[in-house]
Amino acid sequence: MNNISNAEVNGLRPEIENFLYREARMMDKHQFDDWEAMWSDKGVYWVPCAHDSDPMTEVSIIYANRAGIATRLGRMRSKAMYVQDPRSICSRIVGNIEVYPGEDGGVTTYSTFNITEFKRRGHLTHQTTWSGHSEHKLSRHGDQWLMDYKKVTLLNSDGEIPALGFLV
Amino acid sequence: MLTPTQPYVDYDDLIQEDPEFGFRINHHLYKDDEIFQQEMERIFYKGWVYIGHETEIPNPNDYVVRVMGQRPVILSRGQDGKVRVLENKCRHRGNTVCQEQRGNSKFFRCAYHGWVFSNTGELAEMTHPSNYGERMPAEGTMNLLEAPRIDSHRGFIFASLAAEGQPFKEYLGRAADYIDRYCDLAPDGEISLSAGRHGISYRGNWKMQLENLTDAYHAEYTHATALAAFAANSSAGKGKFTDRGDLEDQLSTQRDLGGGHAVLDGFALNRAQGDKLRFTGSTGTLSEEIVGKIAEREGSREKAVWLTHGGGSHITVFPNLMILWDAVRTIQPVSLHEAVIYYHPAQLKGASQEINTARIMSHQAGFGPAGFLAPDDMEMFERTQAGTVSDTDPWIYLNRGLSSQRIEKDDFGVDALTSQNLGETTQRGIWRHYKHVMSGE
Repeated sequence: MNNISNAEVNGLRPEIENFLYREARMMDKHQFDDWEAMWSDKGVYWVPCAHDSDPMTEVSIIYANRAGIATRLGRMRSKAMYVQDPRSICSRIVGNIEVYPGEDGGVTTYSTFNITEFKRRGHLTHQTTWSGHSEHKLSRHGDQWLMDYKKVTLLNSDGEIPALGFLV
Repeated sequence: MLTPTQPYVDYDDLIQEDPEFGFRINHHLYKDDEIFQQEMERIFYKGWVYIGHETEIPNPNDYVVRVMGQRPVILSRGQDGKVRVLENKCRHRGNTVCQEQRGNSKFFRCAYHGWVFSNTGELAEMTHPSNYGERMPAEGTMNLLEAPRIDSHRGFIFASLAAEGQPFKEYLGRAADYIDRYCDLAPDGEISLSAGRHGISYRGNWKMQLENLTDAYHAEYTHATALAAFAANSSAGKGKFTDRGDLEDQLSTQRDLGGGHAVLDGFALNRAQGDKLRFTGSTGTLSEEIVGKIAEREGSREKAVWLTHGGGSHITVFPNLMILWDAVRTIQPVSLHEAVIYYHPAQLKGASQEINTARIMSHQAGFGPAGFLAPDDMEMFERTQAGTVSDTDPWIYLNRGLSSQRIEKDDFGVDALTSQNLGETTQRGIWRHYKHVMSGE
């Protein structure tokens, strides 16, 4: 497939932005089926520990192919995933969206996110924030866009972070 | 029992053994600040503590920053090639002198007033020394403080901030055999912690992780979703992972090795399962590549099969080192109510990159902040901590396996206090040693 031009990317910008906002809503609401449907068969989901690491030789927080994403979601759907029982209440802002021509007619996006997570455990409540940068590679399938690749670099990815039980 | 006007802590009172009620610990051990401060002094500043691995600082001038107890230190391989543990604290005003997590540097310079220290700890440059006049500190008295005792076993470096105390070999005790076995599963007989690390923090006392690694009992409940996910993806047989009868197999034991070291012993069960291993936890070690290389090293295919089919060690080395499956872990107490666990994937020296990559993938599927196993453990630790508020009954009874435990020879032919692996023999062993150390006996 031919690569798209910069002019075409500008025309696509509203629907690409909408894709990212929709993805954010699916993650906030723990709508795992809908989020999974936003992935293509090529899907690679990577949350590195360091910005320039090689996932084949260095440990990551998450590195999953499409099958691994499905397995991960299978566990997340269960009430017995105790780190999410009850589930976190999340609100995230996605911004600073840049859209560029990608490979094979796709687009590459860079964006920044800020998540506020509220957690209730019995009599205790806890509110915390998560921030970082995302890179998406999207491909067109008929009239919809799907994720081929998503890399999420948390601000504190190479540090000590609490259990991450919801989607980023 | 513990009030602000009564700061003396009686560990005989907090950890009790009696024919009437068996073995019990008081939950103040998880929530009393006086106890936490005493743990820092008696366990982390006086005793031996795991600090890092030789392969993290392979070259001269390599360093990593660590925390011993709550004290910031630098694990440094000096210009002279010697490994030291240096306090990360300038001798002038006490500033930390190293701000990076890791790196390679011959010197550490305090930014405040420009004092420069060699990575051997020596004060290399004091700015404007003449201003001291007659009060010039004597040569050698303003070096970075160095842990007076440091030793290592198969690359695992331990240090003690006390000049005198228990000899290293005696401290490591029976844990040495299990560390050896873990390393022996690498073709070259060495592991490498060269694949980075990740850390997960939890709002709970550090000892909850200390007790948890050899608690086989929680696995099928806390980790039900993870075990189901792994079983579904396993070629070794669907459903086997979550089979209660299987977990309770009499071949699975737990052993109190003394000295606070405790192990879940799966060697016999692993061998009985032959090639259908589900739980050796040493990804790739059953491959022909590894078995073949170990057979060559040992000069015996039979021995290689015995070793690899037995699998790796599942051990807690008191107070802060844990070795399990594809990674080496450490516990870092942060405060009374907070701790961090670091995971370093253990790469097998002499193995192909394919196998070592598989080990990284297998490790991170289970552990780290978003693994399938660790987050649910953290959740349980936080819930345990939350429960310590209720003092109506402060006692936690650790009596599982108490009536059936026995002295039995382990895989190394040495007698060890043993029970079936769903017991609490390991927890009792850890607490007994803890009491010994904390009582200053």
